[in-house]
Amino acid sequence: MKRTYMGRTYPPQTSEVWIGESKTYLREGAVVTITRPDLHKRWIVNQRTKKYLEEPYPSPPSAPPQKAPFRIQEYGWDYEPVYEWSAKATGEAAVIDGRTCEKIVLTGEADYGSEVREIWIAKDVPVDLPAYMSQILEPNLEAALVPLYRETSLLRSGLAVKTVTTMERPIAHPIVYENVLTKVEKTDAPSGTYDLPPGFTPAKTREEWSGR
Amino acid sequence: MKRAIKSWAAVIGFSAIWMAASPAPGPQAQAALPDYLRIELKRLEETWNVLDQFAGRVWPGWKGYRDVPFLFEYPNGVRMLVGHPSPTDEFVLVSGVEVQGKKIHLDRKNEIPLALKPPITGGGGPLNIGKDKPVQTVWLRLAPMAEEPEAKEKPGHAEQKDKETGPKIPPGASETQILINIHELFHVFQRSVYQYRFGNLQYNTDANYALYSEVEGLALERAYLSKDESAAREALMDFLDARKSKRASMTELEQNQESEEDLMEGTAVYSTTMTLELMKSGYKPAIGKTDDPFFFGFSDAAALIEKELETLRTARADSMDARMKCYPYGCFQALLLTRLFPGWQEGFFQAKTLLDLKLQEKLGLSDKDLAAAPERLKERYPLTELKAKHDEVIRRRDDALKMILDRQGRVYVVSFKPTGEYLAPKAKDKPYKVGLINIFPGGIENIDLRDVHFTGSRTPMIEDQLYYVKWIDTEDRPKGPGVKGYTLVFAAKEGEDVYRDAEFKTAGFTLKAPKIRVQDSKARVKVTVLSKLK
Repeated sequence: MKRTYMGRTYPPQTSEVWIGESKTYLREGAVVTITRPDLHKRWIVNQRTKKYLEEPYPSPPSAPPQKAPFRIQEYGWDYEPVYEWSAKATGEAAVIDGRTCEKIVLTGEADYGSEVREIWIAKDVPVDLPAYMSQILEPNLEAALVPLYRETSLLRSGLAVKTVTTMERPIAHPIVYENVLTKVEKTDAPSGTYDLPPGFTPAKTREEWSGR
Repeated sequence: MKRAIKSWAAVIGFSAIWMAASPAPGPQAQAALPDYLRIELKRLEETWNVLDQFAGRVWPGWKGYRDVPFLFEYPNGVRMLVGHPSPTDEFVLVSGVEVQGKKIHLDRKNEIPLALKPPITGGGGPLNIGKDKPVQTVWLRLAPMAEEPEAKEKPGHAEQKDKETGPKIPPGASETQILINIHELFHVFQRSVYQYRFGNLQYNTDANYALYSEVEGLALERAYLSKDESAAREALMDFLDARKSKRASMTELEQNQESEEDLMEGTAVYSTTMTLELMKSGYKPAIGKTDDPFFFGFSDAAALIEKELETLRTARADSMDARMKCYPYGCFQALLLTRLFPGWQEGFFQAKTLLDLKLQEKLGLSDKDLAAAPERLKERYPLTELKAKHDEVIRRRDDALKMILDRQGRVYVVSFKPTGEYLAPKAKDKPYKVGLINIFPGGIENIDLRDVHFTGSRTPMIEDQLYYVKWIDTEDRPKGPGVKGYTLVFAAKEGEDVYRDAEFKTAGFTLKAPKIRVQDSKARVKVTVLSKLK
């Protein structure tokens, strides 16, 4: 993933995903999320601090978050866009990294701001798509996008090989994210991929986990 | 930061040698630039010249200001980068033009044919930018001064008039912009010795805050104007007393944020005010009227200092603002520390303390000493009268917010963001501010922005996030396919939703613009102004 802001492209970050039979592994930077439905657990591992947090999986239904009492002193400073999303298959096709892809554009419009995702989908990928959708993609999508992904067949029919996201925030310059799939293969995961790394210890708090 | 300064020093040293042996690219080549850019560079040269004379006396250890790049942005889309080691791709080197050995880069990719007539002014702040090597850069967004009668006068004419009656430095004078440059350069210096610990203050006032905040301001003015040192100290104790009472409704974080804003913005204002003070005892300008017709050689520094006092008076009387008060309040705390406790700046930033804490420490006051504040202040300030004034404003603001939040109906949003200019709506009645929202209970009279004209009806509206106007149509209008709550007239259509020479009209407002996009969805009708010039 590459981020470009005000003409500067920051060094790319690589994510790594493994999908096993009922188990998944997702690494983003120093943070690894291991999901083990067989153990009803999810571990969030910090490779930097060698600490992990353990959560039940699937997450128990949580009570709706308590709304903080209205406080005039804080009102009107922070604006979080609430996007109204739409999807449009463009009919465009291209070969990216040897794979035939179809383009779909997701547009989110809010009162003050917008987000456009140009997604190139490849269908000929050796990936367990239902597992990928339910265990990797959906848990990481913002809530408003989940119904759109569930209703749009093209989005569920393959893997995003390339995604260019342009975020137009209310005041700041636009930020462009580019995600590119660099490698996809069907192979056995290295031993221990879905286990806690040896020597890592549980953290009692988020602060202890993050080391900050 | 230190490493960057060192390498820049080497670059500047090399440039100086090279320039001695080569035909000079400087003034003659600069003349090839449009007037507004040429004058900008002259103002920058003068900024460095002023700091060469005073920076070390304003704040011990303040150096390196010549190494800080500047990014100037103009409403015609032009951006000028000065002295940046790693410009991003949009910038093109202006060959043969330098300012004191520093390279000039221009970004004209988005330039539009908008004539810019000096004087040009504006503000900004430090930004960490660059392609391969981001560096702290002073970013300024500038625009021609509003065409008010005073600003329209030619500099020579204004100067003549001033000799008879008014100040020697008229509105639009380059002195103001040079002081802004110094202010922003001080911010860059601050960042080399102190990092924000608490974040920006984002706080809406309440009646108690507004009351005691005004007392704080009155106490600072009393201390500043007092000839007698013990009276000044007593007024400073009032200031700290009032601050304690004021903060009853603030969280600990908000209190720290406010004190830190006093520190950061206040010392930046202090840097310019002290510069002006020091100028009184001798200053040599490096530029003249031929370089910049809007430069008056800081001939009336005292008037500019008086303006700071005026800012303190205006700020303290404002019931609704918290953050902007930090500029004068912090400045006058620093000025008083300098007067009563010379040498206080030594190690100040490094000690990670705050101005009010420093005052309390220097005055030898404990928290207990400040406990009896309200009674003491009642005897020394007109609390009852001030309370009545602020209570009324805050009540009206709260009523305005409630009224806006209660409005239900079709949402219309006009986005002016692509114009790149902040909005300055003319209100029909008194507006009220809550966060970044400006509430216009009686509506917006108009917004005129180049060839874009927005006129409003007498209906409540808000301006939000600097670039947007939002109106909710509460009327129950006829519904059905093809029935809209607006009309759209245009000269030409492009693609699905872009219109040229368009007039978009609702019951709440009319927008005329050279180019707009209209997005009509279930949640809202959004009109985006895509061009401000015909």
